[in-house]
Amino acid sequence: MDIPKTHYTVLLGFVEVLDDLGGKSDVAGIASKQGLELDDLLPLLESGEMLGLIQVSAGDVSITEKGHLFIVASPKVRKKMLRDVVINLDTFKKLIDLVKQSDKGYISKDEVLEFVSNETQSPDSDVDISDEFNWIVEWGRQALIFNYDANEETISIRKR
Amino acid sequence: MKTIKYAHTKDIHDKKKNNNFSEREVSDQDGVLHNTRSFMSRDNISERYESRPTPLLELKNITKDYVDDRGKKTVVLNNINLSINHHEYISIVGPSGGGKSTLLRIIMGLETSTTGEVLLKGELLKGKVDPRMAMVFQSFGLFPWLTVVENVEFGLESNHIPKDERREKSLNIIQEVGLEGFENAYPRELSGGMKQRVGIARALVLDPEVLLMDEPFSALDPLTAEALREEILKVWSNRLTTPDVVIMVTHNVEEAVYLSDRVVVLSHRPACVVKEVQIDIPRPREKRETSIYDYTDLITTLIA
Repeated sequence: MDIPKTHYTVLLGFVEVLDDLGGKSDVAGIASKQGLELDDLLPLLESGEMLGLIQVSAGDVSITEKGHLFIVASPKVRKKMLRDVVINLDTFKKLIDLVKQSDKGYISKDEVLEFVSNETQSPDSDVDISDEFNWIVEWGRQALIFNYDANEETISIRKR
Repeated sequence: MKTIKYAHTKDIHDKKKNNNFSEREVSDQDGVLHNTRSFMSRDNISERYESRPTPLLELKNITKDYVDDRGKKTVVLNNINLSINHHEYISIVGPSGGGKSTLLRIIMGLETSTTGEVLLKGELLKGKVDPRMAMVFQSFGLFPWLTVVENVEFGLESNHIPKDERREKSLNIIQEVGLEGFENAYPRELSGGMKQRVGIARALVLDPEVLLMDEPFSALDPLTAEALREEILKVWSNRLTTPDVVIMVTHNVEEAVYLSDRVVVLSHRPACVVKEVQIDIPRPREKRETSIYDYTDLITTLIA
């Protein structure tokens, strides 16, 4: 699923470090210097690319023009930049449609879990559905797209 | 090309109430350069304050000792004297268990010293928490049953500020520290980095003149710590009101050098001030500047 699967502040730190290194580094070098395990590194690179902040090619990772702008931006501008990308990711588009189609104005956690399960259905899939759910909530909040009510376990669209 | 991130300074003449200031940075490259230049003229800043004889904060002959059940006395702090000026970012480093946190807690008024006094703007603090100071803790110190916005508001409740105003103030700070979108989240739903943002927001909402931070980044993974260091610098340099001074306890010497105007080195227990090292590197600083490593080496040698 096209959801960033890394914590925002970790990704931000990674882009900052990359910037300090002159905007480019070999992947192995930056990973070992930052003590990043492969399990953390891969989602980090994937999320950074998904958001357009970094670019990975031939074993090197570099910061994009947008990544540059992002780290100098104010919190408000950063949110806008994230929102512009995340709102157009396929998973989020589909979820926004689901909420809009609902009469109640929100969808329940169970409905999202069902959605995730349908989207990731494949015999060799080892996706943890509740992990996916948590990333959807984290990035939905981060990009000011969704509100999640942890008491009611409902997702609604954040009013601007 | 290395982007100049922001000017690490505060221009008190620019203190405006609305928060659109930092937004200029991305939308307007000229704004960045202009801010940076205004930083470079650091002399102007000291000139403004030369006329002020009183330091913002003074510690005079602070001593702290504990007596255990068997009557054995342990001296933790031994005659600490420190004078902190307006607009300073100060770090306190020293061996672990050396009393750094105790000193911070005494400044904050969470603990009383055995002898000595703490003066804020020349005024003696009477060993209780002063509303002009706020503290950020290593372990975040959030109430798990309160949402983000409720945690931030909490400190304002005793200040007799009307409810609407409290909410508005809290939401502004939440936006400033990048927590927008998480207003109604509970701490358990947050990553470490976001939790510490709440800790920072809860301190800043009190509009403190002195922000005390006790190992604020040491419970975080290295990349998260990296990101939050930059954000604290942004808050300290660009924030339009407070805090005026940051006092941070850390065991990370390189972090202390990168962030601070002055690093205070404490000795082994009983702790006294071994040396105060002025970090003479212009801001904004590059993390890979050799002078950062030089200062780090120097200070590490002083601790060892």
